[in-house]
Amino acid sequence: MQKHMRRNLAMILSGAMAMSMMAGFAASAEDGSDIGEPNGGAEVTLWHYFEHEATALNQMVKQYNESQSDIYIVPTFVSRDELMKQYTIGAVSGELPDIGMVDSPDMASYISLGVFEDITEYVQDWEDLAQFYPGPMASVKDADGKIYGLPNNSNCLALLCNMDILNAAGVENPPTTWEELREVCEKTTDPDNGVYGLAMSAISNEEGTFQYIPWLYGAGADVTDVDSEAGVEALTYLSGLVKDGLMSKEVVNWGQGDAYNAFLAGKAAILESGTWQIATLDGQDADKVTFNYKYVPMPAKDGKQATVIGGENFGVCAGSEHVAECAEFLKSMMSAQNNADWCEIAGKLPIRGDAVNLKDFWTADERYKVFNDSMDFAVARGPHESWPTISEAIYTAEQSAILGEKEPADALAAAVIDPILAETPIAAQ
Amino acid sequence: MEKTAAKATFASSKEKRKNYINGAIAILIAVIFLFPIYWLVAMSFKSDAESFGKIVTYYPHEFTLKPWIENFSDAEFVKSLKNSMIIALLSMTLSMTFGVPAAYGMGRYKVPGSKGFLLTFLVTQMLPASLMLTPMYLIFNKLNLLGTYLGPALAISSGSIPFIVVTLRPYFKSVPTALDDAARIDGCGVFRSFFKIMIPAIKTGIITVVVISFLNGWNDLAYSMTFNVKPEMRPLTANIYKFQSKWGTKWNCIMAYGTILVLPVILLFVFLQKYIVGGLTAGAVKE
Amino acid sequence: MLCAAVSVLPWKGCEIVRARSTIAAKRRREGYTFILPGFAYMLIILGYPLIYNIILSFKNVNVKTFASGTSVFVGFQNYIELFQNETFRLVLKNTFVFTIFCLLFQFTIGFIFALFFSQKFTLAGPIRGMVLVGYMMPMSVTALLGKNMFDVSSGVINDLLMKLHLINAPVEWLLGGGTAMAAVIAVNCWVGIPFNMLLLTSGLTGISQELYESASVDGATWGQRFRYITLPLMKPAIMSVLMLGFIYTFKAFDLMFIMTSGGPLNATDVLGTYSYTLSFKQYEFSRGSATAMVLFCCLFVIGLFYLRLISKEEE
Repeated sequence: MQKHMRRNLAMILSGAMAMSMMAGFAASAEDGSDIGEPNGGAEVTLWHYFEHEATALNQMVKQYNESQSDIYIVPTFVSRDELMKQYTIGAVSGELPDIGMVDSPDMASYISLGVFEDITEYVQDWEDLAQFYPGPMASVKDADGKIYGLPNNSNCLALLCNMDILNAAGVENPPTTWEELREVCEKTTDPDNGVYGLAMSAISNEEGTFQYIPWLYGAGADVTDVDSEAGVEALTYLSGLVKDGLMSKEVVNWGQGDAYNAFLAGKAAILESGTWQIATLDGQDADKVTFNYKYVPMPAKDGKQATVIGGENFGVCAGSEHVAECAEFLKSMMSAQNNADWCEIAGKLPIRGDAVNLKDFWTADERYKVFNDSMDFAVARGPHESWPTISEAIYTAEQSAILGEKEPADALAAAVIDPILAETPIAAQ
Repeated sequence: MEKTAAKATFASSKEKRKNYINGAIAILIAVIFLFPIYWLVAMSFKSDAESFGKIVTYYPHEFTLKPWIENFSDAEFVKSLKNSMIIALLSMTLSMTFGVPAAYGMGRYKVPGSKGFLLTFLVTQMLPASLMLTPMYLIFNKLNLLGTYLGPALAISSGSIPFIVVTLRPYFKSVPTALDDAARIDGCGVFRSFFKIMIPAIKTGIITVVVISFLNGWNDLAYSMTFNVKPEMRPLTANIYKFQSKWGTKWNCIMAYGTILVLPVILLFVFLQKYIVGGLTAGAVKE
Repeated sequence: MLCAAVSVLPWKGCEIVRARSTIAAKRRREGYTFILPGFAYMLIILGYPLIYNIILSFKNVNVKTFASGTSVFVGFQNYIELFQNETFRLVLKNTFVFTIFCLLFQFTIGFIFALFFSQKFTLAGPIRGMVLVGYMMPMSVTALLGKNMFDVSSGVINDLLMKLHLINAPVEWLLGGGTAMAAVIAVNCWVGIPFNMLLLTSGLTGISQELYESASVDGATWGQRFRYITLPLMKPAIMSVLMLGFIYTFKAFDLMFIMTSGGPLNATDVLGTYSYTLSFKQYEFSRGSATAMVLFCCLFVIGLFYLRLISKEEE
């Protein structure tokens, strides 16, 4: 009997396996991994963590591979965490790709660890450099102004409002100030249906810090004085939303994707949302957007408005045998036309002013316009080689206030940032 | 005679009752322990909206195969299945080849420094795996093992071997000495008696470590990813990154992924158990 | 065999002593032949990493000193700083709390299960196999499953407890220190119980049924049989299961890393995750290694203790 059962189970399982394999074969067709035929050039590896944008990246690489024959670029997807681990190990072992992608606030640490090659000589005379925005550009330089890569794209944060929920609560227009935002949260929060006013990410990693920066700077403070009066005000405001039940305490466990999904599921009226989420709203989640929504810039406090710059850079890694050629590729990748094309397809903001002017994409679509306009008051994180430690101090303070472990002022007083900045200040931009 | 018959019925009804009670307890245990598995499988058939939904649903209200298709639609699926198999089998073979004889040597022979050996095997398990990554990477780089299956397999085995040694050593010790003495008298060489007498004598233990050292390889992610960045050599476990990213956690896809990972292991286990049963009956003739 | 030889050929005593010593030498050689390949393997793969970490833990390598090559030996400074650090002390405490509770539950329940399923009843085999599935799952999936099930607002555990009227309001599982620790312990036990059961079951099957039968004939109760047959015969297996269990639990990493990221506010941060964060997220390589070495030393003490126990047992 037992034997019988086992045999049956085994048959069912192997049947399931066989079926699933067939599904595997059937589905493996177009996946946008065409990067052009080998062009006779030396093979160089490019590591990135673009997901749905990978097709657009491959397209750009294909174009470049077909346009010259010095190098043949082979892009490889390596997840963000894995990539960071590889850079850290690579700093010790010297085994690195030729070209690597990096999240902008992390670049300073990797420059300091010697992961990226100094490419100043190849790019300093490039007249286009003047077109690059200073914020993203600062993140690829070290304290001496040497250049280790080029920024690839930018993004920032704004508020995404579910207008159906707002209207149902009698709110006609999205909030523009901190007071208004709190009012809207009070009106839209509906505990019986599990709807909160605001959703954001306050998770214990860089994403948490990223989402906190707009509030910190909006209050009039900055990373050098997180525990100033203005800094305490920012944290008091956010933790107050949680304390009064207007924002879920679970934000401390939410990454930006989780907060976005909560918003999408109707669990929040307003989301602190990033530029990249427009592409998902239009793409993979199009069928879930069953409500009207509207983007507005981050709310202002006492007339002051702030948001945060995010984005990725590309650098040439230390030890590459083709530094000059790779630097050429980066220049081509970040030319005005290419950057504009790429950012349009991938749903990102260009990192140079002339690229924005090439298309009306960032001004005609009012959602992108919100983000593009917000760049005027967007602040960069760092650059600082110990940014991860600073970042940890910030999100830890935020979490302890939100979880009610400490009063905002005490939480921020416990954030030890000053000694780090006293040793190495953040380079002025 | 009537009396004994009555006694027999009594005994068997008592047995029967015991069987029912035990069965009931076992079912209760199964319900508690299998609920997470049920949740995993049920979740894997839910739509995105349902799996993120505000309401907890105990079975898929909107049944969908999409999460499964998303797992399988990876062009590399079959390749990574193969990679996982190779890494698991290779590391299992390495672990058994080095681990079982060492356990035997330490369980059966009084050699000077045997406690030191045992301590060394234990000591190697005492550093967190994450901190072994960098120095191991340096070694494998020197040995030209990066980007091969052997690199991760060697690293995984370095975790399985001490496990095998510590687990099997007491088993080898518990085998009566008469058994291998007899073998010696019969003219069996050391190695012959090891393979023909000792290993069959502790086969339940052997099967256990086979399963566990296979699992160590099958479920590995850190070593296989770190020592091998070539996408075409990634194991199945690497797919987890596809469903957990800045776009949020895709619960239904993650759950389908978990089910897919555990299925082959269950299959293997089922077949292996069958084999054990077969082995037991074959061995019974001797006993 | 040897005895027989001695009694038959008493006048060849001298040679026999020599023969005995050559036999002993041969036995030793045989023993080493079995042990050394595995031993060498471990030394080659793991000896260097160990030394590497020890050296690193006495230097001051971090993001500033790394590339410039200005790192120097600083003695025990990293260790002193760690023990002065409040977070580190919390992490150390967490590690012990986690390990002790996990071992307690998973060993006791695992042993009970092993005994229970070793009885002969219809469902014993299949259900024992099913319970094992939890152990077969990769930790990364298990941890995510745990995160999903213990979710405060949309987790099935809260929903279930509410439906059963065991609680009135959702428990804030992963938002509170104690509850988050309880949740990771629960998930770890879900994996650990089958693991303990599996290892102990194969130990149990090694015990001859005849022993139990003859004891029953002699009128021994279940408790007596357990106390005088099962426990003594299982002792070596039990000790190795506990030792391995301690090592694996003490250096837990994946579970917390994925399920709680060590949070909330380091409440489930353990030495494994903390050393990773230091080394790979903050580039404090030396302090990360020092943390790993603290973990190592705790386990080393436990290892010595285990050796003493089995030495006593086996002599």
